[in-house]
Amino acid sequence: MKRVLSLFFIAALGVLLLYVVASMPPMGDPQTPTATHVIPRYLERAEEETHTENVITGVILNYRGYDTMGEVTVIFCALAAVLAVLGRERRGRIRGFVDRSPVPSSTIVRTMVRFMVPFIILFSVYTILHGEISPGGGFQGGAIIGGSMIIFTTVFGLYESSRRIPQKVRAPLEGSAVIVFFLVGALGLVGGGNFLTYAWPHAARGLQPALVTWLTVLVEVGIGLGGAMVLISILFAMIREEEEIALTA
Amino acid sequence: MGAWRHFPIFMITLPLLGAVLMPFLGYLRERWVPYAALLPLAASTLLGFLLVGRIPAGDHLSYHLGGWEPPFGIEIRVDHVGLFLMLVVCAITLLALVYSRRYIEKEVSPGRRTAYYVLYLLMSGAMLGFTATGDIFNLFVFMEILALSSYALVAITGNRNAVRAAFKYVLMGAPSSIMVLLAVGFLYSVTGTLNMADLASRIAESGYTEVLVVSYILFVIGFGVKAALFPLHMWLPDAHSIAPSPISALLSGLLVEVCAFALVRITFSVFTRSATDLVGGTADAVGVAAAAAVLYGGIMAITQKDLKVMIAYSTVSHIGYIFLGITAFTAEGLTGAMYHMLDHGLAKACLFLCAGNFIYLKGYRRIEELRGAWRQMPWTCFAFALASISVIGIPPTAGFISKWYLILGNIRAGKWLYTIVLLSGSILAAVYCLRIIYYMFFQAGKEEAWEDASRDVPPGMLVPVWALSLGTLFFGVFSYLLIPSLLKASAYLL
Amino acid sequence: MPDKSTFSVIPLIVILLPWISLLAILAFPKKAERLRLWLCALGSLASFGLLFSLLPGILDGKTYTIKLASVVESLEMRLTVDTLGFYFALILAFLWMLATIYSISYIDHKHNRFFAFMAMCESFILGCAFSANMFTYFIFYEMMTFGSYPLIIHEETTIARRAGYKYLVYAVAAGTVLFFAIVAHYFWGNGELGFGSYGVLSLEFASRAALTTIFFTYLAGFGVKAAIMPLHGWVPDAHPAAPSPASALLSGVILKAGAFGIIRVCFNVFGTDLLRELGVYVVMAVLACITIVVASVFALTQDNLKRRLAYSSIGQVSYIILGLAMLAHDGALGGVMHLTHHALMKGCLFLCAGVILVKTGKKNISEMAGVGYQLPITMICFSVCALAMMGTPPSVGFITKWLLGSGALQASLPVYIIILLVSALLNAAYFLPIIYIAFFRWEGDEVEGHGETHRPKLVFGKEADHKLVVPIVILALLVVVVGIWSNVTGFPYSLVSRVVNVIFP
Repeated sequence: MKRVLSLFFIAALGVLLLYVVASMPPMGDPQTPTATHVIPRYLERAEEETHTENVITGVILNYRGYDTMGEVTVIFCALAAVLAVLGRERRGRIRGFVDRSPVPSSTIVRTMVRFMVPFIILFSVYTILHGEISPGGGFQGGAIIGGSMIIFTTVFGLYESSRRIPQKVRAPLEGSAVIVFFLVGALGLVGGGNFLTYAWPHAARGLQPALVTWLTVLVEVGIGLGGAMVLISILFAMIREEEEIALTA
Repeated sequence: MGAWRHFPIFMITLPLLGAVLMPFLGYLRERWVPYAALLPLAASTLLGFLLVGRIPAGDHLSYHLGGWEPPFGIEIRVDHVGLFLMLVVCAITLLALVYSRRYIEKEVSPGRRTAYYVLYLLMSGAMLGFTATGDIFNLFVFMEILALSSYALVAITGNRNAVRAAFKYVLMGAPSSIMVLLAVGFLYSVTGTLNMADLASRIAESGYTEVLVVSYILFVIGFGVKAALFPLHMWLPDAHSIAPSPISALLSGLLVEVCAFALVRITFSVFTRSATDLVGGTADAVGVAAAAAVLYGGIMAITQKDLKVMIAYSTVSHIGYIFLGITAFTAEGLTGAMYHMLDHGLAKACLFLCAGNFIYLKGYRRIEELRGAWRQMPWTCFAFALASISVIGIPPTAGFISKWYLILGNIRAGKWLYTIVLLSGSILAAVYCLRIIYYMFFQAGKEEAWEDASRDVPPGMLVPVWALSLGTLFFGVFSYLLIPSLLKASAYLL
Repeated sequence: MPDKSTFSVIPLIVILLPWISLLAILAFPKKAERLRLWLCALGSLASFGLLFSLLPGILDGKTYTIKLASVVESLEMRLTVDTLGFYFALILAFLWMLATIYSISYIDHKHNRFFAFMAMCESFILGCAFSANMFTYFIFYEMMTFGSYPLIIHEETTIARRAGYKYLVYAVAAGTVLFFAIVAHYFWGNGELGFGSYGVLSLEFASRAALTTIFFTYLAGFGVKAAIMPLHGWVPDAHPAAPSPASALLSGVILKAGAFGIIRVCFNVFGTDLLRELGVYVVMAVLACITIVVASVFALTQDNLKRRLAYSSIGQVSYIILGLAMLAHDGALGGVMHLTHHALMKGCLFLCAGVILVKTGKKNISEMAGVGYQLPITMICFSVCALAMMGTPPSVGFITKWLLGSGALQASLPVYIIILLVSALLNAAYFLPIIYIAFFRWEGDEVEGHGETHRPKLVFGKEADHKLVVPIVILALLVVVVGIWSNVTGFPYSLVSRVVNVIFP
């Protein structure tokens, strides 16, 4: 009965949504409200107004930077939620666990990973720094760093990777995205604008564009580092939980 | 252009900043975290109070983030009603945080305590941002922070029931977030803007009626789940009763109100009056659901044996009150709803904290175990009594004033049935509240049940409880401070 | 009302003075029990004294007013002492003072709670009397309702708990109905909740149906406290369960708060013209008549003394309602004066019942043979009041009956006189046996030819503590004195006639 009801409910919702999609303005039509209201300004003036060549980055970090600040908080919040449910390791306690790699790996794999990880991280740095010119940015770069650590941890185990990125490093950096956003935002205030105005106080007019660009890059770096650390901490918390269970079982 | 224009953004971002700094402090000095967490919230509260009286009557404070004028940038829009709710949020979160320190030491294992304060601050900041924003996508972003942190806070004790309750909450909450996102998407696709004020003007001339109606329905369902409107309330009794008591206080006293307020904003600031005909049918349905909520919540509360579950069901009932005030579509009704958000927030938070006191000191959860509680815990019991008087709506508490305006609003709207529902709701409230007061004060419990432990809970837990319960009394007697401006603001919204 | 409204803090002080008792209970150590109790009485006394000092001003036509708080401009909490309010406040403060003194000796456990709530209730009900509008009235009325609950269940027996439960059920329901009435009044009265001398509602702003609804919800809301049948259910349970001073106050004052509400509604909210126009007064009269007769019949069947007195109260309070419903000068005068008269009589009767209970432990009338010899002063006072209840001259009861009868003639409805006569007869039927049993029967009397009887010795002066006897004697004396010199300044007539003469010129 319950199943039939939920099926019915979902079907009704699906039909409703399909119906709406059918009556929505067609995609790609230049005359739709979306295409005529806000977007033109972004496309035409983003570069001169936000001093970033990538319009997307301009919108994300500048026009709607506040939303992005919220988004990075969501990411941080995910970490906090994981730690709330799984608990965080005490200081230094992580060494106490048996160092056992989840995946038994051969020397070839080990060597390859050891060799690859620096390059992956280098690539992520490139992604982060180039976010304001080309596709990429802090989120993507952070995810790449996180991915590299996932590979590393899978192969070498928690002990090795937590020795390289200890809690001492992760704890202050986890929130770096929000912190950088806040600092840049407050800086805008000092510069005489509103919160999140990318500006340097009393900068010479000619210097301003470069400063904005650099501040944008700074935010990208903050997002990248923060995202990476959040991913790594979540990974550690989850692996640690598994090992704890493995120990008692 | 005084500095005060920047206050709201700091009210929102300071708790968030505090939250991200907490893990490092937790790494350095874990003992300091509970105290340090107070700082950002205290600062927010201070800023909020400094903002009082600055916003001209019938007007709002519009703050353009990054200096981009809407609809290109994001706008923070604080009117009187919004500021009022932000102050309520600040005050209650601050008090519940003061309360948390001792309670959390007892309930939450050491490895999770820092996470508790992090999530707590995130939740507080998100509620403030959620209330203040003038942009519907930003609304969604803050709703996500709010939802995510509240899921985790429900589960924070880590025992099986808590995780199950949190999971139930996630199962209902996640789809509701998606519905809101879909609704935002639909609105954007037919108007090309995300700013509320801009939306209001563009919706009026937009031709896509079907999309608008469906997006409104999705908003109602989405926020309805978060606000626990009757048929969508299933997650609430479990989550609110199992969460640690300060969190129950926030969930019940603030979160549901804030979500109801979001719906108010969507209804009155985005879809506006011109579109009320458009959404009229939905609003009627909400009215019916709210009326059902009042009765269902009340009856379920009467049948409960567990104190916190009872209070949680009472919340279901009172959410119905708030929505009945909103769907009256009159200034009085809306004022009543807003004032009810205040007094319900104060009273419900107080009730949950009192229930927390019983759990903290004696481990008592069942209503029957409270017989004769007065002898050992007089202060807690008196605060509980005062708050429940406000829940029932007996003068001179704030509950009475809000009930007055709720009923007045419904009479003006000619909704007789709802008037009767509201009145019977308060009778039901009287039944379930007076029963507990009777147990506490007029029944002799077992001697050994109350005499063994130390006297009442420590002052750190009593002060917030009393501040909240005296708050209900204060806003009952000095309603003049708020009601006229709320009436004006409601008329402005309509 | 003449517009000689002066700002004055005295109403507020009068209301706050009983709180001295609360402070005393909190401030003084447990050892100083007697001191604390006397301070309670002092609070009550001071409040009465201060109130009395307002008398010259009131007779001068002044009103005293103070604003406490407000919600919006037109919706405020304001205390105003007008003649009617002063009249009610005077009798209630007086009775309360006597009952407090009486309680010092009567209450034997949980003093703190009892006296604290006594004081709070006095404060709240004084607030009712001084209310300047329905909003304020409702606020104080509700607080008083819930504040009197601990008084009713003070004994904490099963019976008392059950009675208290019943009381709460009725009170919550009534409060809800009343709340609706006031909100509706606010809505259709264009936001005007104040008391006007000729009423404030009118058919200009609201439809007939709306006004009728408001009236009947008011009547139902206040009717529960005023014990109009069929809303009287809590009264016969609550009175016997409560300690005697509390039942004296329940019957003498708290029931009257409902009646006073109805007086306000009739005179100051609707006004007599509107009542006549709407025709609702007929319903009120019929209900009052039914209550008067049926309650008296019920009273006949009760053996428990306090229960019988409770039913008697139900009937007597409806005299007030009947007097109002006559819509005639003398009827209104009699009805409103009966507020005081009944408070004096019934207060005394309940206090007597309390002395009997304490000294002999007898609750039922059938057991009371010979009580008149054990407790002569008490029973003499009881008899005086009982006779007054029947309407025997010279007493306050007679004045009420006379005025009501005259009002019935003015309203050209002599049928009311028949009701009054029937009621007087029934009153006699249930009061005279008590007096008879107390004085002319003694234990062992029933056994025929036994020869020797336990006729107790008549002892004067030693029957009970002075704190118990003095209030009774004062009340019994007043029943007669007010009945004879009824137009002395400060007695009910001087005050009520001022009000009624304005309404019925």
